[in-house]
Amino acid sequence: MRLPRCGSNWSFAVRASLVGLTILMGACTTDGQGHQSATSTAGAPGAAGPAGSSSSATVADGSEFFPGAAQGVTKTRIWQLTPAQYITTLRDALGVPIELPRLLPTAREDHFLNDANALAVSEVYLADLEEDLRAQLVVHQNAVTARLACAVTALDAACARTLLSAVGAVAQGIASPNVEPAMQVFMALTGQAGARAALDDALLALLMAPSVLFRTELGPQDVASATQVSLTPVELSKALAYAITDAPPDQALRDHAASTDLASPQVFAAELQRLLASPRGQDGAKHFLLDWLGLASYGGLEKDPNLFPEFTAQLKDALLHETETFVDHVLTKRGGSFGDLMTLEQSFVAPEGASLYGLQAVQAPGELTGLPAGQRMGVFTQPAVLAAISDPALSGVIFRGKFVVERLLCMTLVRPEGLVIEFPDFAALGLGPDSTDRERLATVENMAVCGGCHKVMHPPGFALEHYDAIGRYRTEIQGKPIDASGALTFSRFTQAPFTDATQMLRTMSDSPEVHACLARQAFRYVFGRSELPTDDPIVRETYRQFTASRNLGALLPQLVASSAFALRQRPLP
Amino acid sequence: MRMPSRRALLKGFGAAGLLAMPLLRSRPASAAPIKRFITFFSSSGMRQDTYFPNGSPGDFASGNYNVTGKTLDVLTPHLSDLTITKGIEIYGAGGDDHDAGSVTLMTGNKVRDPKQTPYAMGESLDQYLARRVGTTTVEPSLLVGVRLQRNRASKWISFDQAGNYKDWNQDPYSVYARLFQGVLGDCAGGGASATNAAKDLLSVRRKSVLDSVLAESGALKRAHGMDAAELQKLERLETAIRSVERRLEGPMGGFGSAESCKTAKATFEGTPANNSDANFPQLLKLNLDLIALAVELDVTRIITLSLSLGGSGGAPMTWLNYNGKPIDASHHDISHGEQRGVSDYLPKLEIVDRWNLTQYGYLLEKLKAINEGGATALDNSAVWFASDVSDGKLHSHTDMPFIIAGKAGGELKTGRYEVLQGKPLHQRLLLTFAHLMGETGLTSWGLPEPSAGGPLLL
Repeated sequence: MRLPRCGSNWSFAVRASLVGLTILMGACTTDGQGHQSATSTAGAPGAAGPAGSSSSATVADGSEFFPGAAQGVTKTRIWQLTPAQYITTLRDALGVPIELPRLLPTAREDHFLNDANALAVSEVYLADLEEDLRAQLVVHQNAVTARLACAVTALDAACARTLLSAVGAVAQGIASPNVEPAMQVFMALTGQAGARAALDDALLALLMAPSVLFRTELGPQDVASATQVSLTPVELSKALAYAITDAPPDQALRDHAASTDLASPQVFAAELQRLLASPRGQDGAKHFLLDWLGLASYGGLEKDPNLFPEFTAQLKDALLHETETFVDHVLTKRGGSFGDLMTLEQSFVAPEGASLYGLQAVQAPGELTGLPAGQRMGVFTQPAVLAAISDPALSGVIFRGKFVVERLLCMTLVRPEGLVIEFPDFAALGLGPDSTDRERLATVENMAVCGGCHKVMHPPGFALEHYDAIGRYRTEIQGKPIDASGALTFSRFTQAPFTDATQMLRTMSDSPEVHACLARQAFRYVFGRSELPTDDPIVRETYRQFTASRNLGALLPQLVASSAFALRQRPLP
Repeated sequence: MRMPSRRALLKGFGAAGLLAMPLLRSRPASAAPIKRFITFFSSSGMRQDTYFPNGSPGDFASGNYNVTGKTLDVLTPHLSDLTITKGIEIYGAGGDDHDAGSVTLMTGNKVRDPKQTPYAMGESLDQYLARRVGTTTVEPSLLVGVRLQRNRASKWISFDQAGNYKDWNQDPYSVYARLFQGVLGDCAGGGASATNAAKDLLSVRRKSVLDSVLAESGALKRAHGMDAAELQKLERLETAIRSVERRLEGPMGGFGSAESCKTAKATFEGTPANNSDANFPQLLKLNLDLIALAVELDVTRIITLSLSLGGSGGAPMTWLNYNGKPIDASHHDISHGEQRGVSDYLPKLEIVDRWNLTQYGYLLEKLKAINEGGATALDNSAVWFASDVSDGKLHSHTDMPFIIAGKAGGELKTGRYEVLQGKPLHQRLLLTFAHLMGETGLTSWGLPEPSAGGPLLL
């Protein structure tokens, strides 16, 4: 019988690339006859194998993961606000609750929502925005009119300018906003459409302008040639506010930007601490963690109604609320403990969600409920997270496994170019319908090339098989007991064999590799881009402090306080 | 013949004049055919053994082949309008097969980097054609998708020149309101009605706002520190603004019938169907009706539709039954039934394939019903049934189940089954479409090497 094969190329390697640390996952070699065999090694370049050559010192100081010495600088750029950031900005600026439900995240699901390169104003996005924001101004007509410094019947250019300046100051984050383009719209239309209608048009022009849709990180515009620039005080205030609060600068921060004293390290540090302590600062860290947990697009989640009739909108919302409350609790009541996030065997189970846990009763809202022993372990075993990474109908071993290695180990599984798949013929291999997923997927693990990555994805995927597509605990699938055991043998510091997800996640919570990954994730979120080897120094420092403190709440501020945060590199002319 | 713009009509005739006009005219028979390129994309391919025709390749009329017992039997009424192909291979672009198959499908190019944005290299054929032949219509192209819920790379198959994805319109009611409602008016006298003066003022106001944003974008582009990638972000914004502006005052067609006008209004101005997986068949039908309407009114000549994105996460096809029970998985998940240990996935797949092909047949039927001076709109179109993989289970890219319906204005011979030898790469089929649409100067599409040999089927 011909062995199934996975690649048409004769010799190449499957890379699991950690930026800055490449682990050779598997290699596809040839004996010259076109026969392929899979080998699997793990370790940093030059390392012999799983044991590696690391010392506890290089692990503790992070040079094991982030060896780079020279600190690079992010290039100058413009950064589009996420739909949520934009809506918050509009609410703050107009002082009314703006709703734009058609604006959905545009970033690809393997990026953070705020990835500066993945955000885009598509034609559909702009068309939805233009129609819906216009409609919102009509809805809030009276509230906007009430903000006028004049009677609506006396609405003239001066009165319009006063309101536009007040709205623009918040929307643009600048004490003396540029309202001239909006004023031109007002002047052009006021005769034809009437002053009040023209004011709405002017507001739209103001709020849809690129100075609000985007924020700049271009540095002072009166300096034409410098290749390295510091963010202007206004740019810095926005960078700080969006990184820490996922929202625009508040009045106090805008004042510091206006007086330019934000450039002073003491003022900047004080503002950072002030924002962290504010309600929006706590929300900011929560947004980062929920995005990392794959819950950013949870609203669009649907399950097969025939298989899961109980997955109603009410249950769906209750499950998300449970996880949000849990994350909030860890951040505010447990010192941001990463260990608690990963391993608490309690949760804020809602009455609707009790049956998913096999519980008869739950504690009052806001109270932790103890979970059945040995079945759950921290946030990755909560139904909302599990449901979000499952198919509408099936649990999805491979997808879940990929999610775990991407989110917790920061491994990027890269397929070689030109790879042509040839799936195994299971029937010919004697694996009929009665065979288990494990048996079938074991075949794939033994395939040349494919095996390299599948050996990585399968163990964490199987570990989560005790939870179905809506996160309900189960002990068997199609009448067969679940085997959730395995080991992350490909990793260097997270190898301990486990019997199920609870053990795997407990191991992960203490793994330096996982801590290094959290530092990377925080970097991606704060800088809006993937880390490069030249970012090693600040990621290393972030890791070093995190692995010591295990404090999730300290991840973002640490990066914000770094010198690289406010520096940008201009492209050569 | 160039149609007067809507605004010119309003100014020239006034409301009363328009009311007196027979809005919905037939095209003169002597006019050159309006050619369209329509892509009907359904991911996850076809169950192979129940798809390809029985018999040998050749002309349908000669009886060489038939589709008895095959999933293609649902297209029996259309066989003389089809070119059924076997043997074309999708170029291996790299990355996940679903992702790669989707991104290379119309770009004919490699995947830049599965982790980066933009993900594609170069423009997709539909967008190229939109720039070339779409300039005379209000919409250069129309992209409609049904329940494409995951933002993974395989979601997008249309890309601009920089390789940035072109987004799907996933709400048929918005598309109707933006593209058709104004043209259709009250079905009695065109877009003219008592409210038109107000509508016209609103258009002026909207355009004024958009012009202002456009100018602001232009100013920001001149700032210090903007490199090509940053400029591109603003260029996408500007493209988006211009597309809304074009709708506000672009030239409109108007070759529709009063009957289709009334049907459209009844369909789209009633209570909207929820945009949910459970309503998938209804949403798809709305989109297919919109496509037919766009063709009839000549709103656009380049149309791309997607029923599903490659990879997991599609709508469970619960509206289909097998053994008296609803099918409880998406097309993608059913296609991988063997790997998932589902014993009855093959008969289910046959049901799914027949349903997908039936939807394609519905579109063909609608296009056939549009008379364009002796020929039907289908005769004047090339309607491509496309997918990202051939056998969903295997993720294979060989023997793609590509069908072309229509004669593209008489330039493509139909009623045949072509088995192409030597695994010609799909770039050559893209070249065929380009040539059919008048771009005969092109000698390659995407990558030159896989295009070698030139267009297929001509």
